[in-house]
Amino acid sequence: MTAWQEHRGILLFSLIAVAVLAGALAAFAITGPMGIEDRFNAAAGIIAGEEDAAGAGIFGFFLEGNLLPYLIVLAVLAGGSILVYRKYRI
Amino acid sequence: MAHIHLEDGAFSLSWVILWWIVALALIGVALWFLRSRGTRNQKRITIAAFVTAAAFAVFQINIPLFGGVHLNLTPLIGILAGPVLGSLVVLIINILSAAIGHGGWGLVGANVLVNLSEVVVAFLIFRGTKSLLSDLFSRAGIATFAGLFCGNLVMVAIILVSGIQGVTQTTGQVLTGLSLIIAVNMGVAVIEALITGLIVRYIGKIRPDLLGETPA
Repeated sequence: MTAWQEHRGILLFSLIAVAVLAGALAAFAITGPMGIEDRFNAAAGIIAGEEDAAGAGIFGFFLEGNLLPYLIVLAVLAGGSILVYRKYRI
Repeated sequence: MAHIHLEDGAFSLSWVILWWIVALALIGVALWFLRSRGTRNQKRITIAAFVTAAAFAVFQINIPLFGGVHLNLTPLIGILAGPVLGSLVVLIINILSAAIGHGGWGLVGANVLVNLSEVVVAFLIFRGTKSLLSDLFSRAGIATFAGLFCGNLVMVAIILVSGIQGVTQTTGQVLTGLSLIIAVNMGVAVIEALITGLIVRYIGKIRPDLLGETPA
């Protein structure tokens, strides 16, 4: 296997990553900082009403949706995954 | 990370019902396929359970990048669980997300279609590049880019076809705005591609049989 064949995957990946990052930064410069919903509303021409304030979050990370149901559902999914793993022992 | 972030009422009822019917029809095909095979792939089922939990957990976290985005992990679902189980996984995630207040119920059908396209395309690209690319990281990463790009195209197509109620924007104006969303989303796809590539490479090192790379 030649060096080109060995590394063409990572080269292609890097090329795509650089191209899409450049596109993303250009788009971000046009739209400015917006949340996901705001970005969609602006694109669709929807005049948003009063929105619930997002949770404070940690370092800018916050939860979309309600915390308690999120934790309950996540615990059930994690528990279910462990049960399936113990049953099938893959 | 394509996901239609519009509120209930954005699409007319007829389009909401149509997208639900199409999504459920595809899920029905997946269930029929699972039953017709007769045997249960225990590895795939276990992996599907884990990726459901992981994707649900990540899906709800808003990341302070480009103003606020979230990851989907749908290409990872496609690569690890395959398109058949993956279709069930995205249905479950979208329903549970709506249940906890992330996204409207009316858009679950449309969002399942968006996510399903990501799952299927990522799976196909990952499998299809096996003979072309030697390393798992780049295969998974490129599959992620392709899957997420396709998901974004499906998302835009669904919005343009459905139309949005109560707005005066022309189709061209909406398309321009959605094109910017695609560009921003693809920036986030870089992070998702890196994460997916690293996870797949790690699994490929310790358990290549789980990727179907070697006979189990």
